[in-house]
Amino acid sequence: MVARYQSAVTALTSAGATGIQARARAAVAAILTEHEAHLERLKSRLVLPERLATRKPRPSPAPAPLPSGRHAILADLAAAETGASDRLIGWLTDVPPALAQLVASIAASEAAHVVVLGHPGGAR
Amino acid sequence: MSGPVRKASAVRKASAVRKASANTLAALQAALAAEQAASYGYGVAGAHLSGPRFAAASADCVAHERARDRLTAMITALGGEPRPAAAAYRLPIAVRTPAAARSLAVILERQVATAYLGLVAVRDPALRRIAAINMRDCAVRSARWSGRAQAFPGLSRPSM
Repeated sequence: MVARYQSAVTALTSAGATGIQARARAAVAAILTEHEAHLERLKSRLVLPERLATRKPRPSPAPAPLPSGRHAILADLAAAETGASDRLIGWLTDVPPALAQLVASIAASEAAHVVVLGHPGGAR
Repeated sequence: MSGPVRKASAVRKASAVRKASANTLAALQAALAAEQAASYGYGVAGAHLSGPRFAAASADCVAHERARDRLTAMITALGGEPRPAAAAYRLPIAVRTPAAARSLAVILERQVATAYLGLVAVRDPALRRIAAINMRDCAVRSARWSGRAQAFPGLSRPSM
């Protein structure tokens, strides 16, 4: 998600700076920050055996290329958020209680991102 | 295993089951209390809204009332006694304007999300899932009212 959002910020930056484009870029950048926070918090909870902890981490696979155009990019990100939220809720039963709370919270955050992507910069 | 050892093990197991059940009931009661407070709060918020925002507040109020009713049924099914709602609740902010009503809706959603955290941590996988889905619904409604998401709904202190 972090890599996908980084690509989206780049794509929306190069697409221009009209009002609506700038709002979309700001919304995507804010969500990127939240995904970085999710990653940090999850990493801090991982307890790896020593031989794995000292190993250099494998690079993450490159995300699928983003579609072109603001609407398509936001729709692509929203679909990714929905899928990620559903997957996390599916994992809930397999994790210890404290981690379950974090996983549920991140799943809720990802679902809320879909709302923000649908109306960048807007509220009811 | 000898008789006394087997008996002690059975007693420990029964005690653990009772404790788990008590924890589950306490988590359900906490979620119920939050849903009751949210149902009341949305009634106040709705009185200061009109048009589509009033309709949205009404729909969100109904969602909380349904969640409240489901929690009541779950507590009863587990042999507990659902705590009744208060006649009135002290609201976290004074509501005199539509803007304050929208802010109240955000606070209510964040408080309810926090209240489900205990239920997410219980052993029963079905209850965990229900709690997580309810947390997710709260985060979505909160984002609709505020236009913003939170990195850690429920975990971060409910605030504006």
